[in-house]
Amino acid sequence: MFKALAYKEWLKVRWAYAISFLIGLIVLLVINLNMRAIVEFNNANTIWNYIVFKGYMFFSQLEYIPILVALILGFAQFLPEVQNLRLKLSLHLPLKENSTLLFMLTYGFLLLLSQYIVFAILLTLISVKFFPSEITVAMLITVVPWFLAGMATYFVVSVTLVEQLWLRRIIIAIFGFGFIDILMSGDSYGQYLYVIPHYVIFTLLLGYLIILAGFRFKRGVR
Amino acid sequence: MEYAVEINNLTHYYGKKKVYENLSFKIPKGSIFGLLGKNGTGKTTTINILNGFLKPKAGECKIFGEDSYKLSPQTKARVGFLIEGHVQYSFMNIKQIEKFYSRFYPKWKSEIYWELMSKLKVTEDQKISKMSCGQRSQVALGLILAQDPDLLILDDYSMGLDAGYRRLFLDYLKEYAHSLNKTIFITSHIIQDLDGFLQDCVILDYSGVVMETSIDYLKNNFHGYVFKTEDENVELRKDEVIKNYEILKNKITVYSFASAEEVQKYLDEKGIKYFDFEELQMDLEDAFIGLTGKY
Repeated sequence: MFKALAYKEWLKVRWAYAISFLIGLIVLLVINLNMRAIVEFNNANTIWNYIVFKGYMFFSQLEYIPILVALILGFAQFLPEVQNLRLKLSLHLPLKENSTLLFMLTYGFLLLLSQYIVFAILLTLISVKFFPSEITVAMLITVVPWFLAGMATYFVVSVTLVEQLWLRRIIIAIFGFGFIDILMSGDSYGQYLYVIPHYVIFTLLLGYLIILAGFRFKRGVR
Repeated sequence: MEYAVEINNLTHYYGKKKVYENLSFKIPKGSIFGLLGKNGTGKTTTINILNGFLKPKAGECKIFGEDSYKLSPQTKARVGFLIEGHVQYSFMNIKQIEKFYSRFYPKWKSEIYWELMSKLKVTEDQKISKMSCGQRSQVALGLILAQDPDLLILDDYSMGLDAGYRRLFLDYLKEYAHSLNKTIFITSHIIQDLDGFLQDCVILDYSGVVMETSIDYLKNNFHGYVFKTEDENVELRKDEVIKNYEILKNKITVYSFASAEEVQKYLDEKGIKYFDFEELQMDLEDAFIGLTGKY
């Protein structure tokens, strides 16, 4: 049954998945070309100076891509469910309602994660081509909050759509925006190193809100 | 007697607005049962409670003996649910949606679905969102029939359908229910279509349940009488004899379970001078309007 549920989710998001993946790949290509141009036209000292002392992030074009990808996937997956209260169909399937909702959310989250992993690997490959491993590690620590912000965006979009009361939607959206803003506030390498585990836990907890929104949907709160 | 649905003292409010209080009725297994009422009398509310998508303020609602708000997956598999407006996964085409649903229901009958689909002038890869309302209704019907449920809950199946599709929908349902002894619970705002289809019904109005009855009893025992009077100040009241009435200038229509003789005797006792007294030919829709009024 869950295989069939996965099939439905895939039918909803396949185009959004392809488009968002393509956007990410294009941005990574741009980063790669930029780096090649920088290396071509600057000497090693200048580049070192910019990165180490001035905190230049050669991968900054990627910053909002995880959020954009999450928005595209989140809306593609959950908007069709809430239009005409179509979620009733999913919750009427012979499965436990919480299992259905959590499966849908987990499936979307794993699709999102798959893109993030590919983006992170490609970014790492670009970095190791030009820089020593210390900078690559610092870069990866720096982009983790961006990816976490993307995951939080996906959860906030999902929960906001499943929730039916506008006041609660607004509250969830404001709360979510505040958290995402914190994750996106870093402006230097490795700034969030020691708090990342806390943010990971908090981000994953956001996903659990869909159970509460689903519970309220089922109670008929409109 | 075994019941597919049992509703006991159901009470629901939206905020302070009462939908109904102490609604009670039972649907025996194998019957075709209608919930009839005008818009806003609580039909969809009842369907939502039945399907576990609304928690009532009070009372209980059971499907096959289980609390409808906490249906087990096994019981959900026994219930086919048509959402108002024939809502389905419109991002799928007819092949994808059949593939999807068939995995959930062990008794899935593909042939019923494809037989209905063969009547539609659509290709297998046409998305449901690109179909007409009538075609979508056939897809939704095909899916719930293929599910082979023991109980079908149909919320306003007639919404958006022209006469042909409404007839086709009911013909298939009738055939299905009679041959397989299934229970159907249906709501509609087009009462005339249900004449000859329903066996029993509950009639709702804005104050709650007007009556629970078999269709045969209603059609055979509920009468409409029309007469004229020269008395411009005729006063009638709803009571044991007169269930409803309309006064249009000097023409009066009364609705009653009493015979023509009993109503005439009643009018005589009230001192109402009348002439041209005759009984109306009534179908189910006339009876429904007679009971609930035109407004």
